[in-house]
Amino acid sequence: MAAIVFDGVCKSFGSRRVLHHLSFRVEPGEIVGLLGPNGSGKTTTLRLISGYYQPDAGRLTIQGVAREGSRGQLKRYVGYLPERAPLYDSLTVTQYLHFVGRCKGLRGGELKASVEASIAAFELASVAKTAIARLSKGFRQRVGLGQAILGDPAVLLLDEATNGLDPMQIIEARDMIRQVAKGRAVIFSSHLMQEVEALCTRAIILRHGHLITDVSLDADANEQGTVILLRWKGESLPTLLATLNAMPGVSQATAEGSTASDPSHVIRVCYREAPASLNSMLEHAMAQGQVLSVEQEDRSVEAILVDAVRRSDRLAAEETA
Amino acid sequence: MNALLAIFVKELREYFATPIALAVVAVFWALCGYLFSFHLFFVSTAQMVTSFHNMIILMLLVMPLLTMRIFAEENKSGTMELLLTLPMSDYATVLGKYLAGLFIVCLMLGGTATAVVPLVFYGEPDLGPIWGGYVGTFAFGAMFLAIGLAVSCACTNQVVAALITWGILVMLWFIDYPAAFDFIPGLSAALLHMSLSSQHVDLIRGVLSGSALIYFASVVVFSLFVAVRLLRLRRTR
Repeated sequence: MAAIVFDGVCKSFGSRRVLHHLSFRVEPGEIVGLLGPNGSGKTTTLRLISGYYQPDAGRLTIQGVAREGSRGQLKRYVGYLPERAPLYDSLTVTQYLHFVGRCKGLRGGELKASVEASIAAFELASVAKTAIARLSKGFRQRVGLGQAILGDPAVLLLDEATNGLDPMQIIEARDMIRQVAKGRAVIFSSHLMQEVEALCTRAIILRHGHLITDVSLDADANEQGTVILLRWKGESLPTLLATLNAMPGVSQATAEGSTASDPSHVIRVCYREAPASLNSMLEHAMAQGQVLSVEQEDRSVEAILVDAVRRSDRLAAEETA
Repeated sequence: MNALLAIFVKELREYFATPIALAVVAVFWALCGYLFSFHLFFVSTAQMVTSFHNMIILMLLVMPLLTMRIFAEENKSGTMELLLTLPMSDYATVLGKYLAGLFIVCLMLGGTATAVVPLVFYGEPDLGPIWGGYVGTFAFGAMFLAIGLAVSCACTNQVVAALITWGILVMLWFIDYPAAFDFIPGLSAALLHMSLSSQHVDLIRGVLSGSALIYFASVVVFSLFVAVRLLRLRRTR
């Protein structure tokens, strides 16, 4: 059973629609990076899952339970660390964790065990009796993460969880998140590409409230092998694509449309081992001026994001035109 | 219930961790003591009616300072988002905070009870009106608290929350002024009933009328309901 299912979810604030028919699933054990420029709908997506907002349309289920109807039950499935890790400065770490635990319905031995597990997971024992106001930013973030895992939620939502931390703190926080993510569905929203790259098994990219890319970071390279991008200026594109797709070792060859300003096509060829026929064909085509350039595709998260955003903007511009 | 208790305890911890609540209680006690002593030694009147009047006026002045942070601080610091995503009802959140505030009101009034000791020691006061006066003064405190809590829920700035609360309380105190002209007899009667200045005349004497207590309870329930609605509104804005 999928931990989180978005099925055509929409959300508006007044007349402004911020999420447009969002659909995706997150399975237990996945760490999904939620990426996108500012205002793309990342925080709204997390707030919908956390129960802070309600969807206007579509269906959102968590652990098989629909969002509408049983809000309290759903919230028990979710641990949430909002952006900037808001905490009560006047409480000590233990007092704060007990407070959140009680609000989550824990009591007695269960509460004590959950708080102790959280303190151990995020190495908070040394500051357990310290007022939160006196903690460093790194420790504050750990306390925020600690409260999120109280009650052993199946879904963990982390909004900019490593923002503002120094490099060592980021590495520590990353390791801790990896530890607590085991068996849980985690959505990790961040602007830091290297964080998503280091931590996540999958990336979902939002743009103006639309899901523009949903890509696996774990297996993508292994599944597709090497990816090269050909800039093709020759004619008979369908024939070329058919030839490429028929080559042994080539798993997929696809073309992106040309524009009025740039009549060439970008052809994306995925293969595990470059067939000799591909090399000779490319040499021949380049000699004849049909192939303008050949480059290996950058599969970094940053490249995926930039590529997806540009493609989305281009399609939007074409639709408007 | 567990969540309500958790909110109650957390609020009390926050009240006593910040200087504002302690200062409000201390200033209230000090001024009540000063005014009681003044009447006792210089006006030579040993009774609690004036003290209850003074307590209500002082509460009107200091309660907005106590209530301004209840939700405004959560709104500003961002903890409201966390609070609203925890698996508990909005009613538990509002009631937990309200009960913690009532505890402080009880503390404020409880401290003034030391004034009753010399009255009992040196005289033979009728304790019935004194108890009644305390219940009436508590009703005022409970109402001021509920109004301040609802206003705080709508604000992110504590000073603004305090100013708006003052405005509402002062307006309610003087709301019977137009009744003097008696343009619409029914309306005049309603304004007189709503007026805190006219209600307090009986309550400080320990005269507890059912209609007055129902009025106070209605304002409290309405204010808490408004606070819950405001919390829900945050999710749909």
